[in-house]
Amino acid sequence: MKRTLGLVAATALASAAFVSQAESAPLITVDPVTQNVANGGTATVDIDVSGLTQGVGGFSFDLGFDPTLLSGISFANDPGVTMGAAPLDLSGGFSSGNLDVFFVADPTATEASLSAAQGTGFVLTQITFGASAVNSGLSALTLSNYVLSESDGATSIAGVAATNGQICVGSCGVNSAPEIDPTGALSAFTLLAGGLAVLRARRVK
Amino acid sequence: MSLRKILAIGAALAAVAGTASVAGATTLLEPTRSYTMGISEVVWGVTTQANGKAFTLNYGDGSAPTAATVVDRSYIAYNHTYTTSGTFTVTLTVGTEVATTTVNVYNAASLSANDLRNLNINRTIQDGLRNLWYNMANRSTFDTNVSAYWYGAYGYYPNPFTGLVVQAFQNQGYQVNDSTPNGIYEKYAVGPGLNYLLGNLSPLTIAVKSTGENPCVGTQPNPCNALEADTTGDDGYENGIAMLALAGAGALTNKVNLPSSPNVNGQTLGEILQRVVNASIWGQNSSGTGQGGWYYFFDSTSSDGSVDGWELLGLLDAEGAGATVPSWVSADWAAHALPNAINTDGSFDYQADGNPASDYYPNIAKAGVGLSGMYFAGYTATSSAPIGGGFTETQAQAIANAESYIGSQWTTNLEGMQYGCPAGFNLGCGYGMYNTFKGLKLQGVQTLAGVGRPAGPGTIAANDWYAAYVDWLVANQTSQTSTTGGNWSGLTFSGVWTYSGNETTALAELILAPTALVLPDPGLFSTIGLQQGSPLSTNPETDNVATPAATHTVTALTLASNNSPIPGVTVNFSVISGPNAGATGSGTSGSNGETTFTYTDNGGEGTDKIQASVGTLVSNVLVETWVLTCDVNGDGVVNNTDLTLIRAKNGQPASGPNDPYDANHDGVINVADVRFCQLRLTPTN
Repeated sequence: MKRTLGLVAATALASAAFVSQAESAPLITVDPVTQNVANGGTATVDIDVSGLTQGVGGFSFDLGFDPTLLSGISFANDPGVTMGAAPLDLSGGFSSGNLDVFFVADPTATEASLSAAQGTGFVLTQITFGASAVNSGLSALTLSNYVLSESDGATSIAGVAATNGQICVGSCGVNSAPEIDPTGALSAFTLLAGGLAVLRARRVK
Repeated sequence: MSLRKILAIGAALAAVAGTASVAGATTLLEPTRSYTMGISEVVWGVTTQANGKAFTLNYGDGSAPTAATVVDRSYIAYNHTYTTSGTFTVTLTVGTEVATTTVNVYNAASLSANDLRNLNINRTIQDGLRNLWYNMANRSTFDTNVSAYWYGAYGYYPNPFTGLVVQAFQNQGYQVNDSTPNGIYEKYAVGPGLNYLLGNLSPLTIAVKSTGENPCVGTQPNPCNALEADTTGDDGYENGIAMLALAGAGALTNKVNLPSSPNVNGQTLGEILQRVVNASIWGQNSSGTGQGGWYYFFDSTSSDGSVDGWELLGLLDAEGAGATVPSWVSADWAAHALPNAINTDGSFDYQADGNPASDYYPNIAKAGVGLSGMYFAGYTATSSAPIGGGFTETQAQAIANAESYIGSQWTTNLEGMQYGCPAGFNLGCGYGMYNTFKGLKLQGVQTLAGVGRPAGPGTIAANDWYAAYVDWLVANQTSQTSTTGGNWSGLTFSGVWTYSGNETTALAELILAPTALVLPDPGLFSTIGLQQGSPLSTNPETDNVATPAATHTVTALTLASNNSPIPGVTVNFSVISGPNAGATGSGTSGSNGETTFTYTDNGGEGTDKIQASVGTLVSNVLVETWVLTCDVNGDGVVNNTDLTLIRAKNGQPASGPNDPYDANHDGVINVADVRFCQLRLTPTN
């Protein structure tokens, strides 16, 4: 079990390292990529964005999870207050197995102020889950429908990719690495890098 | 080709071909114009009926008509004072014939400073043209004349000065093709005036020049028969002036019907103009310090700044009207005569001497010729290329130096007293003002340090040199409200022709005209003269209302009938209706014939209609619609309700290019649209 989780972590870390070296395309990630939580406990994950070259004027995404293992307790958008003091939060919140986030910056925020506050990355949303008291297993945290708006809303920021995560509730069986999205060259390279990391881990062993 | 264009050409054909005989009697009144309430001003008309006929002249304002018998049928002119403002229909009745015209009478006391200035400009232009009509040499037989002509002061030089007078009428909008030529000027001054010039063109056999260049442009064989306006040694400047009038006709497809002038009979005005151009380019100096320039007689070794000026303007006008000027003409000018005349202090030699440190009778008139010449040579204000001729001064420096020189001489007249106008070479010197006007307009200069004119009224900037010229001409017209006045007695022609007459009145009218060269083709201007978008088109456009307010840009195209661009045209823009009605602007067309106007949407939602004008010519009307794209529930405001409604469609593709929910028009409805609209919320009080 420890070995499996270690491989998963190594794969995710290698993937993240590869992405940060390869290109400054925005990447949305689950942080930590994986974690354990005891039955009845709580787990907190950040949804981060990195690789920014411009200010983000709004973001939206869905985060899917296994409702038999996790339940949403709370979430906070832009906890670092990088998008101004009076943002517009139109998030739909938790529903069965999904968190719907939809968040827009303070209307007085400009490209200059946003990019200065956000730098090359920031925490989009911080989420707290409650773990099932009775069920055990691995819940994927799956990002979908993710969109970052340019600071003026002229269009959405192009080339955004995402890396999913997972939470192990109680005891988990053998599992594989988190899914990488989207498919394409970046994901292929990411998977390749992850695979290399696995091979390296095996050689070390 | 539009119906309007076809009709215009047909009408023009009748004008040029039919001026020799006017069938039936005709009574006509002056063109539509403006008057000032409370001032005794001249109202006038003509009739082809015999003197002695009873007539009534009803001013349309309820006052008693003037009733008398016709004394001078070519100029039935009376002073009248309108005591109320408004638009009135003037009626001249001679026997059974009735002529009408519309006049606009303004109360000066109720006008803004800018409107009052524009009123007085219109009055000045109209009274100046009236004076030219009054001074037509053969006016008494206006209805039977094949040709019309004007003398210069003391009865001299009718051929070149008729050319200037004819172009003065043309550039004020009285062309033979701009409408059915039933107006007094088009029918009895411009058409016959052109006939006079055409009748004075003489054949000139030309062939390949000693420099190897072929001046037989067009369908002419080589050697070919060109046409020249003078055979007595003044070919240089008279040919230039002839080109001005022929190019200004705006009717190059008209076929000439002048059996008494076999040199031109049966040819189109375009063919004739090209043959005159051919003579001038053949006459371009082919050797010496003045190579590439012009002298009083053709193909000399010296260039003369005056003759250069007339030839350059003639060729620029001809090119603007659609004639062909081979590139070797400007290349030869740019390689020799032009750089040889440019001085490093910004002056321009009277005769090119090849010494940039030596002024040879310089003055701002010649500096104006130099600027026109630099335009002809293709210099630009940003070019770091040398001026040519082996000199190191850059083209940009030469232009800047010339403009600086003119500004420095604007009021002080430090130079130019040799062969100078009595008033110096600027204000009060027609030739100086004319060439300065041409050069600065072609270079797109709006303000000059040294002019000393304060800003205003309206949007006129401080040191606006053209406004200063217009002000001077408006203020110095002679006896504007007299039936014999309207000339400029204080405006002399030049240093060697120190007189005032029709020639100076013509120069004043040309300076007051809305173009430095020729007018755009009326048919094209009225149909495609105003465009917007990218690529430019006449299509309607839709833009979002924004906070802060968004802007919209339109582009006027001033084109000849063959679509060649016309630079130096003063274009006025106006939003004629809609939420931004009343927004105005103006500009001067560049070498591409384009002038842009950008205005701000201060009126919010609605549909603007925008129109451009060049003097009396008006463009097509463009439609610009301002929409609150983000007002998806249509309640007239953009607020959080709209944002919530857009958010509800998150992730959906736009239903089409005008889906209001896809506010940023990127094809999908998402958080970017909400952000886009959040930045466009309707302000709340």
